[in-house]
Amino acid sequence: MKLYVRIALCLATGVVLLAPLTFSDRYANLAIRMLVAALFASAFNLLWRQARLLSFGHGVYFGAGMFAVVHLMRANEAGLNVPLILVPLAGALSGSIIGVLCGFVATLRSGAYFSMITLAIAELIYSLGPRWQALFGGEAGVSSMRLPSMGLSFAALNEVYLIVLGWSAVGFATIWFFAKTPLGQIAFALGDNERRLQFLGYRTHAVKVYLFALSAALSGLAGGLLGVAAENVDYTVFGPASSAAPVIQTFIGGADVLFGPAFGAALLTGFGNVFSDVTRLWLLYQGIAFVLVVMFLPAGIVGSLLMGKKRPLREAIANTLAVLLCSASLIFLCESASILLSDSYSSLRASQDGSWVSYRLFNMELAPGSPIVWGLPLIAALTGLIISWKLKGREETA
Amino acid sequence: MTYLLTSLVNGLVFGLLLFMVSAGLTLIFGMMGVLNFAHSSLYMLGAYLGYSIGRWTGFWTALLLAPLAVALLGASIERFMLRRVHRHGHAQELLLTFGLALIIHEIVKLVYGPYPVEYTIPTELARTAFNVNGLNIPLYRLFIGAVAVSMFVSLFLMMKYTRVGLIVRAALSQPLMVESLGHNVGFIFLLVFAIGAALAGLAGAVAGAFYPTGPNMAEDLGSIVFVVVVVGGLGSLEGALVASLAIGLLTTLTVGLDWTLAGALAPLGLSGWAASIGGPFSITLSSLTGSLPFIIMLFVLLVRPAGLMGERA
Amino acid sequence: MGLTVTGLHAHYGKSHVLRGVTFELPPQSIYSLVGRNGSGRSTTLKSIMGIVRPTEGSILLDGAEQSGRDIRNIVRAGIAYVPEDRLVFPTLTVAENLRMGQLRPLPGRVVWTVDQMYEYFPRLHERKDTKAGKLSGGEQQMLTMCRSLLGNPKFLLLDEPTEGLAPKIVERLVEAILDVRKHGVSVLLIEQRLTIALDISDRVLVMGHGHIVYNGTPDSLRNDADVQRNWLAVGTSVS
Repeated sequence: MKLYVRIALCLATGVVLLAPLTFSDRYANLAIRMLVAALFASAFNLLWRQARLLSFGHGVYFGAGMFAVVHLMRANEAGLNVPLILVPLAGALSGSIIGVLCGFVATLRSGAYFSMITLAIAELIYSLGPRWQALFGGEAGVSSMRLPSMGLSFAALNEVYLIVLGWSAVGFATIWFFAKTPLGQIAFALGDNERRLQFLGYRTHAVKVYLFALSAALSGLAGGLLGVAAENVDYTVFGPASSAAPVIQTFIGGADVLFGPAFGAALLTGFGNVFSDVTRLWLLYQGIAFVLVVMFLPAGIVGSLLMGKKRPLREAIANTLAVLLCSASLIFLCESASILLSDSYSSLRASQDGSWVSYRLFNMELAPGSPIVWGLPLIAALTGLIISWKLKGREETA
Repeated sequence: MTYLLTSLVNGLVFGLLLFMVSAGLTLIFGMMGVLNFAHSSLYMLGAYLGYSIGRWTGFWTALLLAPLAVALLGASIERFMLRRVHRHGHAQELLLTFGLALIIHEIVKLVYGPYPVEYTIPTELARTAFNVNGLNIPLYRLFIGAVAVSMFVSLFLMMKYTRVGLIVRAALSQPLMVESLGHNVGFIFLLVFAIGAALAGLAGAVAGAFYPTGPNMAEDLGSIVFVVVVVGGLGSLEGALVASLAIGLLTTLTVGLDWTLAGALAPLGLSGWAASIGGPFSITLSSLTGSLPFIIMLFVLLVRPAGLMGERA
Repeated sequence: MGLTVTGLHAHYGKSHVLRGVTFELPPQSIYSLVGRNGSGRSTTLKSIMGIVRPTEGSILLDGAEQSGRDIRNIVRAGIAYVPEDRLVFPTLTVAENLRMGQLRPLPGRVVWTVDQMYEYFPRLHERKDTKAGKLSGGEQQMLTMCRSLLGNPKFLLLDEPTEGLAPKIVERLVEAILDVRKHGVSVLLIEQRLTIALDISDRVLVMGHGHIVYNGTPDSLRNDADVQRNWLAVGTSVS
């Protein structure tokens, strides 16, 4: 890369990262959540990218960080004087403590067994959550207030963003740096061939526990940052959704690229925030995208962009067109189904003698009985499928 | 006494239900190494399809058609999706089924809404079977049990005495060698996946009429089914049966017990101290019912990773 | 007629393991494949079976191309394979293991029955209800060979059947192999012990660096000190 391109890139990144400081609460909050998700997914992926360990229970360490931070902020309210900028460290600390305990148990096994142990630990904590009132605050959760610190009020979220940005930078730097340390290198070898490492005299279990603890500490840091921003937390943070998020984001982004998970997390958090206002099917689309990526882009989005072979411009355009056609018609069909199957539509129909009254979607008045409404998207989808099928055929003959 | 009896019946029936769902899962995992996250979603689909089809055809026909439809879906998942990602390894397969579970969950919410549907038991089974000490045992509970038992017996006979069962058992340990003897292992995988899906679908169609049929039923059962499979030993039907019954009984029997850790420390004279600390010391056993299976699973994974009846770890 | 392998190439990842293997195995004969470890003997058998996909070359069975077909179709066409590591089904009984080998008899094939197998190896009959995982190494070897025979093959490929077995059992196996040939089945045998290979084979194929470097009768190999020195045992000669 030429020097001035690099400088321009760095400047652009700097501008993008600092811009949220000027945002209103709504968007500063979104920026915080994107950064937190990015850090969380990258922390999760330490285990997979290096040691090929797939955790389905990372919500536990994220949640541990969140709870620790909120409790610390309550203690601050009660008179303890920890500067707000150091508060997220409590998240990292509690994440690493829980991480050492759980990691010691989970890494005794590998493969699918490791996944199941992490899942079981998460389910265990999740089922205990509502029972332990003093620690988890029951159904209502635990709340606190940020207190002014170091001359800043921290009332507005864009001030909090500064803390989040700073600590995320530390987190990402740790991940990047860790891969270069001897321990990080051994962890990489672990994913390739654990037995060989054992023969070389390494205590592989200890390595895995270190790795797990680091991953949990950074997850806890991410949780802690969210805790500072959200000021409250309840036990549902231990639920399956929090543990699923980094898995989905990581593999959509690209698990074998250093910043793939961060990209996937930022992308999906951003889209999720924008689209969940527009549609209630966002999770469905995210699930479909995830399955499609797993099936057709095993390297993830960033991974495919970086490592994919260069194809002629025409093919790239045709491919994009096919994807657009298919997803547009899929979205149309799903949104239509969502309206037509809703309770409000069926009561509307009942009031109109059961006839299929028209419905509004994307600013269009659509008649469910019309063949065009269903035919057009179907034709679009078919065209898309044929294009991609042809492209694939060409690839195979080439 | 009455409490014990109800708990026993409920626990047995719940255990048998668990077995119906976990039978397919354990076979699939044992044979193909695929941990199928979407398996309990197939159970949920069985319940919803039983409900939907039943509105047109009546309960009994739906009980036949719903599992068939789920089997067809299971077969397509194996043939068109899993087989495609197989060369990328087991982790990729696991991720695929994980994604499928998410999709099925959302589709069910899209089609049927976020609340449970009114899937009810047919009137001819909505009676009391018998009465012990003034306690009514519903006939439908016995029906669930009977379906599960007859399913276990036929599955057991199939595995033990038919040629297909023989090939399946052989493929559980050495799939490549089975292929090297001239058998079509790909087809056997497809078949096992379809049968496993059908069983999960049948369990859903039967149980959905009794327990609530809602979009969370897959999630609620899913992790417990994993527990059953791990505790029983991967690929072992007998192990799955024993583990299902044990966990079914354990979870129902502990519901009524209000023992606490603080209480257990009483003989040491520490109960007052423990109770004052609260937290984990004052949680009653009954409120731990949901956590108990996971504690057992962790214990088994660490002490005997091959499970109760597993042949290998 | 027979099994004709021509210009067979195979790769494991980037390493080129077979570099043009060519030989012909006529009906009703015993050929041995000998050579040092890593010379490509096992890979040759696996490539013929389709377990390793050959990258180039042809495998004709009575004139019909087998290269590129699925494993099970190659088996059904009449080639049976007994791998080196004796993959019995450990959780199945001996009798069940044998049933796993049985395929529908096709016209023109030598048909084997389970009883014949028990005659070859009475030991298997004694242990027919034992789980195969509990058998000794020798018993497992007998079992896997019988199991493969029950598929009624025209060609039987054996990968080091005598490895690690007691002399008595080796004798029994050799007798069985000779008898199988008498019934009209051809055997291609990987054999570490040159004496056995020379004793029972019609021809011996010597492999080195992924080729067949020598193809001749046992007698001519006995007299060919060069081949023995260059491609076979390290310093030991055969009397």
